[in-house]
Amino acid sequence: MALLSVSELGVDFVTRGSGVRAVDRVSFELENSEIVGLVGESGSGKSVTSLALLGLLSGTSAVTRGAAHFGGQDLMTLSDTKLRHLRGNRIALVFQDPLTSLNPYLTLEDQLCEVAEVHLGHPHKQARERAVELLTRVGIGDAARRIREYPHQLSGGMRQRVCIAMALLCDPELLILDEPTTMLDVTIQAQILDLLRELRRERKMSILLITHDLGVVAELADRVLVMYAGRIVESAPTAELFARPLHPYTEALLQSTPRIDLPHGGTLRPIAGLPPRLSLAKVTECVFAPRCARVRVACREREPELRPESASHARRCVLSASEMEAPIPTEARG
Amino acid sequence: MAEISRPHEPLLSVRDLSVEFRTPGGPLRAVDAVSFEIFPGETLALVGESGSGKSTLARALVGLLKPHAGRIELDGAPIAGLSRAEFRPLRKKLQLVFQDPHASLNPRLSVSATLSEALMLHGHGDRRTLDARVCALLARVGLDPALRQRYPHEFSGGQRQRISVARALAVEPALLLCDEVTSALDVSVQAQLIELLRSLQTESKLSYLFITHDLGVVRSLAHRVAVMYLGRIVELQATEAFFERPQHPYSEALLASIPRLRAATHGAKPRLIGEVPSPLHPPAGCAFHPRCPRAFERCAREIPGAYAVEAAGFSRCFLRDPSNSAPG
Ligand SMILES: Nc1ncnc2c1ncn2[C@@H]1O[C@H](COP(=O)(O)OP(=O)(O)OP(=O)(O)O)[C@@H](O)[C@H]1O
Ligand SMILES: Nc1ncnc2c1ncn2[C@@H]1O[C@H](COP(=O)(O)OP(=O)(O)OP(=O)(O)O)[C@@H](O)[C@H]1O
Ligand code: SF4
Ligand SMILES: [Mg+2]
Ligand SMILES: [Mg+2]
Repeated sequence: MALLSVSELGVDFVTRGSGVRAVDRVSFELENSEIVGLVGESGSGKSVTSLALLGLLSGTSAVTRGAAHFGGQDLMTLSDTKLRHLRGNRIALVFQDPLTSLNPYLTLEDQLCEVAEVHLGHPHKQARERAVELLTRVGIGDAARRIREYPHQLSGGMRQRVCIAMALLCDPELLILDEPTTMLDVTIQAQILDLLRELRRERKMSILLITHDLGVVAELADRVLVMYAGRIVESAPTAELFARPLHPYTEALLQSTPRIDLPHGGTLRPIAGLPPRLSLAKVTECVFAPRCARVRVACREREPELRPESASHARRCVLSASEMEAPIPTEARG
Repeated sequence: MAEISRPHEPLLSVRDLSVEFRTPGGPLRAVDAVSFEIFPGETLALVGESGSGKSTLARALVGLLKPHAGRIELDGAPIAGLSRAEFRPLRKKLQLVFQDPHASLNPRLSVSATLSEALMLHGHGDRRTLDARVCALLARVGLDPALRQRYPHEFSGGQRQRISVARALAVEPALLLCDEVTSALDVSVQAQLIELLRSLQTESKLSYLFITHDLGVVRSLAHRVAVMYLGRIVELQATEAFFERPQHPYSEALLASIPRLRAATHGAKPRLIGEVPSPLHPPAGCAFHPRCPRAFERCAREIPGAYAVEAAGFSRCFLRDPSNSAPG
């Protein structure tokens, strides 16, 4: 059985009369020691998906639907106390914004050691040793000294790494990382990626990796889920997705990547048009149709289902795989 | 990007700028004798190790931190060490988009109120056109203007990042300092933002100091690149020369570590080895020598100077010292 299995997850925000359907019928599974990448447009519902899974949307106007099971337990019906216990011991989340998980009034030592003492029952000295070791592994130099500092005394990328270290303290079975390397230079990022690979290999850790960095996904993930407008529009093994994207959004996304190997980064090709409006109204066409370079009449008739193309590759598009191989109609591209 | 003809007068000139913090572990020199210029209509990218002093440098440039030493000139007039009040008129010329969007956005103001406030700071006080301008700004950064009555916490990470950029652009500065403004954006929205920044530069000679870890963005946007390591600029070069012929071993390590989309070499890439150094105890000699694959005996003893390399660039590595006798 999969370690995490999510089925038909949905999240609506209802504010001031209007509503936002941020996540819509999201289903996926995560196996033991598997690394799954979650990519997609800014605002497409990646962070909200992870927050909903861990019961972290209370206090907002969110209404959540669907089911999610972790190690046989139903996350959606678990009490707050039990969820909190899971989050501290078996599941760890690194938030997109490091400042959400760091307490500005406590030194790193105080907050890291508290985690190790409360959740692992370590005495202070041992907790501190473990904290220093983890900080060193995430590339904080002179960690034994710097652990005495407060979050505001660290650089953005150092704070991000402290959050990763804090998540690893309790040796979780499932690690959810929301944009964990945005503030890291590529050499330190490489060090973090090595660490994650090692944890997966040695501790059988499963990782859900939310990121815009397709290079990081290519290096680390076994499988990729692509989100657009709150939905999963494509899912496939990593190498296959990059070599042969079968959804026009994925295809357009890959083409927008600046080319590090070409002068001036090559020609940039952003996807034309504005992001979709996420309302609660029933959707009657493919959500990508207004911006799709391959759009046709059938796309406007109803919303396509997420259909399997093969055992491991699924997508939400009316075109057949061979139709996706035809060149993109040029007049549609801005 | 537009070619720039370099006039004689830089917009911003920085000389031997140092910034120090007091910390529990002793004084920490986050920025150490940094010098560079930015010309009108130019984009200077600032890249480098996490914790090397990039954000600190940017905050010192906009008067949020008092430099410990050094000079900063804007249009030829010294601005380092001005009081908050003296700095206020300069805020229209210099805008910083913070690495952390919380620092730019007031959580109690709707997006519309935030942008209106910035437009009025610039003197667009006309109430009748204000709302239309707010909508135009949002559309330019790829956000739906219909969302303008929402508050910052109701947006995703990348949406907030774009609101911060829109706020800074509203003031129409001469120099925009961007600290990691594309890091929370998918590559398509990122490409859109890069196009916007390029076209503003062509239209109005806007200059950028662009701090980023994304070397793909650097290559598509910057005219020149400065690389920081432990508080110092260790290399400064024209962009194409930097990517084709990096002149410092740390830059080489950076370029070699970029993850590729079609990575055939999982984990088999060269790694920088050795512990990441701390600015509390910077290594003697060249600060990079404990991790440098090319280090030789002189590197642990002396501090390298800024040696000229092609196209008016420099490198702080002894391998570029013309009087060096060691293996190159
Ligand atoms: N508290 C909230 N109230 C109302 N709408 C919200 C709230 N939080 C998020 N949203 C909306 O839900 C959608 C999904 O947001 P989410 O943060 O999941 O995006 P994301 O995919 O993580 O984007 P990014 O890559 O920019 O971080 C967005 O359109 C956002 O504006
Ligand atoms: N307010 C402060 N008090 C003490 N030390 C500080 C303070 N702000 C920054 N530092 C230290 O100064 C050094 C440089 O930090 P800075 O934020 O400038 O790095 P950066 O290059 O922007 O890194 P990143 O890429 O991770 O954002 C770091 O060692 C940091 O811990
Ligand atoms: S001066 Fe020496 S240690 Fe420093 S970068 Fe050059 S070769 Fe390496
Ligand atoms: Mg997010
Ligand atoms: Mg920074």
